[in-house]
Amino acid sequence: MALQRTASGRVDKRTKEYKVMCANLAKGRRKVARQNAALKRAASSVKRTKSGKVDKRTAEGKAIAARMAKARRAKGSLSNRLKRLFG
Amino acid sequence: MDTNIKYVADLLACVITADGSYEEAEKETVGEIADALGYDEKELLALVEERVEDTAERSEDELNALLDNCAEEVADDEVEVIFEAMLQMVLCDGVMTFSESEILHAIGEALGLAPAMITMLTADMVKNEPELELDFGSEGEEE
Repeated sequence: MALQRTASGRVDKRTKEYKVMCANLAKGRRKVARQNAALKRAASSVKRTKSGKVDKRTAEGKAIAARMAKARRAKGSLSNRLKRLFG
Repeated sequence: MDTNIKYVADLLACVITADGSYEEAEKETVGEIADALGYDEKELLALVEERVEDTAERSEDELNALLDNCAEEVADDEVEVIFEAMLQMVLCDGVMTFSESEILHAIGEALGLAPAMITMLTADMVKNEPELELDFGSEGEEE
């Protein structure tokens, strides 16, 4: 069924047909977004667990953990936390 | 720090053994702990390395006994600082799991910390490390 229009010629957004069209467009956008995310994950060399987290048991996961540990050390995260908590 | 470095090394070794890995992230964190507590880094690394080899051979009961013995040697006014160091080690891989939470409670209790303090210190750590992930699922799940 064609979209109804108002007297001024604009699409009447109050109709069921318009709302159904919007819902279908949103569904389509979500599907594309999921497909893009899956492609991005497949292209990544980092192995992930079922929950999507980096699998830290792999070489890449361990390398990432090591880099994060170095970064925390460089910013003195433990020292800063000790000073903040215990003066 | 008044607490003897060898007891800190033993506690770290217990944590590392219980957590199951002594990799680059853990070694870097030993260095960070040495910086923060004012110990000599090379000495602490060497002691931890030696103790990890030793504790790897021990049963769970022996590890718990070692944990209790070392915790008793921690200076009274340093228990919270030492707990923070253990917290840093347990969470150095960027993920907090259920069994790691159990390890932290065991350490805290051995150090004489109240459960509420253990929770508050852990919550503070989680709050201030935004990249830390919480994993309520089983460890080692694969795709």
